[in-house]
This record gives sequence, C-alpha cells and structure tokens, in this order.
Amino acid sequence: MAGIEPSQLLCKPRRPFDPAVMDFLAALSERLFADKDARLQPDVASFAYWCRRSNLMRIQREHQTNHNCIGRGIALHIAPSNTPVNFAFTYAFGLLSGNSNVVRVTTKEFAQIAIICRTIDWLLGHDEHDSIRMMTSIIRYEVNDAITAELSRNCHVRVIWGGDSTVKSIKALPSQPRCIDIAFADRYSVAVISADAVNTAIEADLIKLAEGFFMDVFLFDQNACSSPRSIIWIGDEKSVPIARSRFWHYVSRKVESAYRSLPIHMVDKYTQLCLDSVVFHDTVIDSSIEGAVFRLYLRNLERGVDQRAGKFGYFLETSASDLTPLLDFVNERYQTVTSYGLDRTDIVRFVIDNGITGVDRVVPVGHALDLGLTWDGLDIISAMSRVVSDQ
Amino acid sequence: MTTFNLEYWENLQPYGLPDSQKSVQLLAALNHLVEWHSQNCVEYNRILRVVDNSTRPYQTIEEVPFIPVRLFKELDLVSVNREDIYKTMHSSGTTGQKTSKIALDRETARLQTRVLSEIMKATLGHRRLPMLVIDSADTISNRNAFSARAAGIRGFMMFGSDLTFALDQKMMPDWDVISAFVDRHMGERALIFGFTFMIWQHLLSELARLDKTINFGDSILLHGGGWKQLNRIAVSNDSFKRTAKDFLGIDRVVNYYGMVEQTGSLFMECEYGYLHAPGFSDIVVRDPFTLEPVPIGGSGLIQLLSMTPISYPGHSILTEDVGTYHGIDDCRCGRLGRYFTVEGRIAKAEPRGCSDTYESIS
Repeated sequence: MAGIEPSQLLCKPRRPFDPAVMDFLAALSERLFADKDARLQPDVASFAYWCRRSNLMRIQREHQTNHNCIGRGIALHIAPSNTPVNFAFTYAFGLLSGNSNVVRVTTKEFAQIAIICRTIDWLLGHDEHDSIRMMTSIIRYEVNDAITAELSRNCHVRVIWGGDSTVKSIKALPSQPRCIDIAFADRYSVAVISADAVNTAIEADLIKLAEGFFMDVFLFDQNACSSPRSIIWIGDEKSVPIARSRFWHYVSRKVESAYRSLPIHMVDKYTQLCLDSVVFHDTVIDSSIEGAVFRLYLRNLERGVDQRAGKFGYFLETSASDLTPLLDFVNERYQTVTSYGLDRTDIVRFVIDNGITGVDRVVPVGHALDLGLTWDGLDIISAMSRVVSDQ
Repeated sequence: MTTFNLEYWENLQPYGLPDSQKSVQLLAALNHLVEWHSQNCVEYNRILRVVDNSTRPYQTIEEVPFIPVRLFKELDLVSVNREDIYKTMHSSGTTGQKTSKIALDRETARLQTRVLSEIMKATLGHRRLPMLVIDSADTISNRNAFSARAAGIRGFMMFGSDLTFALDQKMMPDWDVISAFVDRHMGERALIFGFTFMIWQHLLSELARLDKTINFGDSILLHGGGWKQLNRIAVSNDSFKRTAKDFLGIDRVVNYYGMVEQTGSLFMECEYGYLHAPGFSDIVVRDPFTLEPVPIGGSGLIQLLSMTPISYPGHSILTEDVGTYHGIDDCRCGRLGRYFTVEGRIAKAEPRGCSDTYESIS
C-alpha cells in the first residue's frame, strides 16, 4: 500500500520525536489538507489536523521524554478493519516513538485508506523523506496466521487494535521473548452530564452539545470503544427530567437529520430493549423509542452493564446526585468518560482517590473519538520505546 | 384457557369475514391473549412493562404490542406449566446459530391444527387429495422429528391421501416412485407439496438438467419456506411459477408464508399473487425506521398476529421479513381481509467501529 517490503525495513531506532519524523508527518498533514478528496472525508481531515506541525510540537513539549530514550526497533501494527483512519494514527505513533513500522491494514476497500496511502507514498518518493521510507511498510493481506506469525517473529513491539478477539488471536502467535504487546481490548464508555449545566445552557450551547454527542456516538455506529453507551445524569429529581428532555430533544433532532438506522439495526435495538427489560426489570423506570434512538432509563446501573453494550443508538440512562454510584459498577473495562458541565479534574481525582480499576480518559462531550498518544491508560511513546539508563 | 368466542370459532370462514367484523373478533382474542401471557409468562410481562405504552384493552390491531421473533432464540418464553408442554418446536438454523424454541401444550397444538385445516379446506377444497411430498421420508424420521421442515410436512400430511415421498435418501428424485404416483392418479387432481428451496433444487433443477418433464395435469403445487436460499440464487416467485409450469405442467402454484413461531397460521397466495390473512390471524407492516404502522401501499417489517399461541407469547411478533401491505377486503380474488407480499429477509450489515474481529473478516 505504501513504503517498502517488511523484510527490507531498516531496524535502526531513533529518539522519539525525531526531526525527520516530525518533518514527514507535518508534510503529510499539509499534503492531506491540500487534497480535495481528503477534505471530503472528515476522519482524514481530523488525522491531518492532528499531525500538523504545531500540534506535534505541542505534544513533544508536553511529553516528559527521557533524553536517553530510543525506539525499540520494528513495530508490527494490526489495524482494525472498521475504523479506516486508525491505521494512519498507529503508524504515526510508531514513527513518533522512533520505530520502523509494518502496518497491516484491512482488505476492505475504504477511500480514506487509499487517499492516505497514496499521499504517504508520494511523499516517500521524495529524497528528503527517504529515511522515513526505510521505516515504512504499510501492507494489506487477507487474514493469514502464517504471514502474521512471520511478521511477529521479526518485530520488537506489536500494537494490536480490534478488540478482545483480535487481541486473543494475535497473542496466540508467538513473538520474540522481549517483544512487547500493546493490546487494545474491548472497552465500555459512558457520558456523565450535569443536569444543571444542561438546564442553564442557551440553545446554541445545547445544539453544540448535541452535535458533539452525535459525533461521539454515531460516527462509528456507537461501536467505537470510546463511544458512550450509558449516560449518567448528575442532578436531583427536579433537574434531571428537565435536562433529559432538553438534551434528547436536540440530540433527536440531530440524529433525525444525519443518521439512519438500517432496518436490521432497528430490530437489533428493539430486541435488546426487550432483553434488557427482562434483565433490569427491577430497576426500570421508563423507556423511549424515538427514530433511531432507543433509551432505557434505570434507577441505577449494575455491575455487568458493560457486557450489554448498545450499538446504533441504544442507551442506558440513570441519575445520581454525585459520582459515588460509579463505584458500584465501574470496572477495568471502562475506558472513556465524556463529560459535560462537570470539572474533569474532579472526575479524574475521583477515579484515582477511590482506586477504581477502570476509566482511562475523561474528555468533553464531542471528543470521545479523538485518538491520541495517551490511549487506554498508556503513554504510547513510553510503551513503544526504551530508556538507555546511565544510573 | 379459552380465548375465543366459540360461536365465531365454530363458523370459521378464513376469508369470508370483512375486516370490520373480523377485527372485532381478533382484537378480543388478542386482548385476552395479552392478559393471559402477561400473567403467565414473567419475561413477557417484564417486556410489556417497558415496550407497551398503550392502555388496555387495545382499540386497534396496531396497538397490540409485539415482540421480536429473535427473542425466542434468546429466551425460553413459556406461559404454561412445564409439565403441560408436550413438545418443543425448533426453527431451522444453520450450524452454530441459535434456534427458536417454541413450547407447545396440547391446546395450542390443537388450535394450530384446526386453523391450518380451515385454511387448507379453503385452498384445496374439502376432499383429501393424493399427496406427493417433494422431500425424503427420512426428513420426518424420529431423528429429525422436531425440525421445522419435519413439522411442516407432518402438519400438511393429514390433508392428503396416498402420501408419497418423491425424493430418495440422497435427496435425488425417485423417478419410478414419481411416475407410479402419476399413473395411479391420472386425470385426478393431486397435491404436490414441498419446501420452496427443495422443490427448486431437487426437482425442478434436476428435470431441467435431464431435459425431462412430468405432467401433473390440474394438480396444485403448494410450497413455502426458504425464500432466503432462493433469493441468494436469485429465483423470483414468477420464475418459480414459470418453471413449475414448464416442467410439471402445473398452472396452480400456491406459495404460502408462515413461520414456526406461529405454526398453522399460514398466509396463502391467491391467483393474483397476494398473500391473504385468514380470519384468525393478521398482519401489520411497520416502517423499518420508526416501527410505526404503514398505510396501505407501504413497505416495511412484517408483524404477525395470531389467535393460536396460548402456551407461549407468540401471538404478536415482529419478523425480520420485509413486505408490502397492499390492501384490505378488496383483492380481485374475492378473499376478504388484509393482503400483502413478502419481499424477503432484511439485510444483515456489519457495524463500523474499532471492535472488530481479525479472524472473521470475510
């Protein structure tokens, strides 16, 4: 797809944020912004926005990189098949941490993949990026354990996206004893919203909130690990009903204009509503079906709700006066909390002070899908590099 | 329990009641059934508490709450004591898939048979016809006794005489048996029965391959089930009919629509190609994007309502089939009630998102 054959990769790791890497990614960003096909794809545009020079400089500045830090060698990335632009992020993570990269992309055809690979290849054809060419091998093959096993034998880091089943099947393939696996398992995410904040927001803010929430949920059919599946309203019996009706009014309006569930997904959601009615029978307060949005409002969330993840616009809701009830059900599967109207540092402190095993990320509504170098609780630069100690 | 107005039940006329009369009877029975199942099936009651927003008794057929047919694969939904269940039906499912479990008590089974018998009489006449089954006798052997196909064949068997199986153990036509059947009933009307896919694959395709024809005269070919497989090889109802005419000489080809979740409550195709709801069951077509009922002429997901399910809450189910609601009481064939067509199964689709499987990419 882009770059050279895996066997020809140069195994000569660099320092994180190597200038040649920064130049290349910044050039990739510029080139994508100039590409009219790329501009039509919002996810390509958001990747281009992420790897623009000023953002990379900011990330470098904020990262506590040890000066004696160096990449590990060759990284093998297994990119997920249904979020097309993810492969570009994971490739950029590999480069920024100083590694050469084999990136296996899905065999499914996506315009986004074609555009980005075409652009990478074009840049790598230029002399100033020749060193990056020797670190780049973006390939595509039908699922084949023999090939993946061969690649696994020759790498120092494996970055495995795609959830539990992919992680399981890749981990089953042997790698070198020192090889490090960075595995992204299935996760569950929630939104925590202040009822008071919704009730005091002006219409323009509510529209913006609904649009952010829409992006978080519907861009990937509510099937991204960071997309909220449950909503926890912070408020009391007076404020929460008003906030819910305000919030869902604007969300439904947005969904109606921009998203359509396929008939099979309507049946899926209706079936899940019925099954959840049985499972959560003693805590059900009410439910609603409004176009593509299915909701089940419960007195409280229980341990195990993360095993009943909704897709395509299916939400469990509950309310609480503060964050305390989260202690009853949040486990290590919980990844992202998208919040509105609450102090995010308070939520982070709540997680740490209470010794909760889950919640790796607290971001404002609208930013659930912003992939970054701190992901799933990992500092990816540190995880993909090593420190040459002189102590 | 008795859910029905017996007088009405005794004078069953599957296609003779105008909707204004039929819907009163049907609605009364369905209101009764909803109460019954709410009181006797705890899961059903919990579901209704969430999905049912109408007040009872329901005033229209459309208000009657429905559950998705897939639920019978996920839950054991039973409204009678376990010891009263005398058999459990299973849907046909491919290996590895969950199958539906439908618990029948004797009363439900009797009602199913009764309803089927009225529908068959209205379709074939009161006399039993010699019956050729396009399947193998093996299919209904004990080993397979509770498969949907076996149950289907057994259900129809009682309406025929001189029951003959046309296929051998290898599912190949037994030409000797078939020609002996034709000879025995020369000049007589016979009932040729089978599953759509079986007839297509194991009889019509074989005849075409051998360039052979059979003449069944003015027999009736009755077939149903398994359009899914035919859609995959792109055979339409029309081309099925044409092929049956060409190779079997049959003019009257009748497709029926029904499912194991409502055994007996069949929808028979009329001379004009429409499926008709008989007196004891009905359909509602629902918009696939809102689940609201569509008006006449609209297409969507088919909801099936039937008076027969007592031992399990299958009296109002949302199928995964897509169809078109064509009209009510005014089909050119003269049958009263609602009529519709079925276009096929709703398409499966993979979600987007980052949680996908490396090993199952097809």
